[in-house]
Amino acid sequence: MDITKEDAQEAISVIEKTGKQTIKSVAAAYTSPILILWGLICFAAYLGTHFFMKWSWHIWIILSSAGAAGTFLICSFQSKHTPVKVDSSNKIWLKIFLFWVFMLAYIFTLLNIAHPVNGLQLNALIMTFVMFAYIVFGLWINTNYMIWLGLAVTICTIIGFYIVPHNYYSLWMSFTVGPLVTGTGILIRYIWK
Amino acid sequence: MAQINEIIHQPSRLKIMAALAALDYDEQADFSYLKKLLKLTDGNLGAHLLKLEQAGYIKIEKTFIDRKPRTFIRITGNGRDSLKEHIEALKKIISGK
Repeated sequence: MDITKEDAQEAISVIEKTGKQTIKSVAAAYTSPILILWGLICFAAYLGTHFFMKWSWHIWIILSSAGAAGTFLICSFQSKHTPVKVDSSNKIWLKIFLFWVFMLAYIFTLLNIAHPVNGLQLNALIMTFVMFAYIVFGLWINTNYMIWLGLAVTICTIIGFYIVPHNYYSLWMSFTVGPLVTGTGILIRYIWK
Repeated sequence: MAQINEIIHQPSRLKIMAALAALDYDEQADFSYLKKLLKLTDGNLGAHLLKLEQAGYIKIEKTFIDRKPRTFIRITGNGRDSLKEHIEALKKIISGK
């Protein structure tokens, strides 16, 4: 079979492009609904904290629990309707689950060592650490949007902590982090399909 | 010596193999997903998959999930090796060797 140099280059380019497209679209199917959910939760929780500071612990615990339950439901649904089936039982979900378990354990340890002085510092610490873990995960699985999202949310958190007046921190986070996370979920769902 | 694989090199089959090779070893792609990803019709995709299966490069599994029939396709070890060899052959052509 005679193939020109140009045909060979075109074929390599098709292989690379198709491979990347496949990985992106599979990632979008799994993570997009989860990001949209957690973006909405962040928006609601921060907004609730701004207007009902006294109840902030309750708001975050209730909404985070709802987020965890929602994530579990999405994963269960996706495992039956996913475009890609995994033979080894729930391998991907186990990895993701373990990642979050380890991260929560490290956050707990960090907070016990660091002893943040107030709720704002506590929240900023947790958000920064979660985003750090998110960026590391993104680097590990070679997924750029996770790195960019992690960096963007970290920058918003830093701006919120150091520059925004403290009594407007939650409002700032509600209208930056919430839309960032939800927006990323929508972007990868509809643009990476 | 790496050689151009005529079965794999056909444009649609090349994309099918590239998509399946991008998945992990124990992952299988759904037929409808492949069809949408690669912008092929049912008949077109089916014909190319049959050709690849006959060559031993892919395995097709028909199953039921929630009582709905679904078809999953995975690349075989032989398929991965053949695609790797084909890519090496293409690179040799590009480098002029």
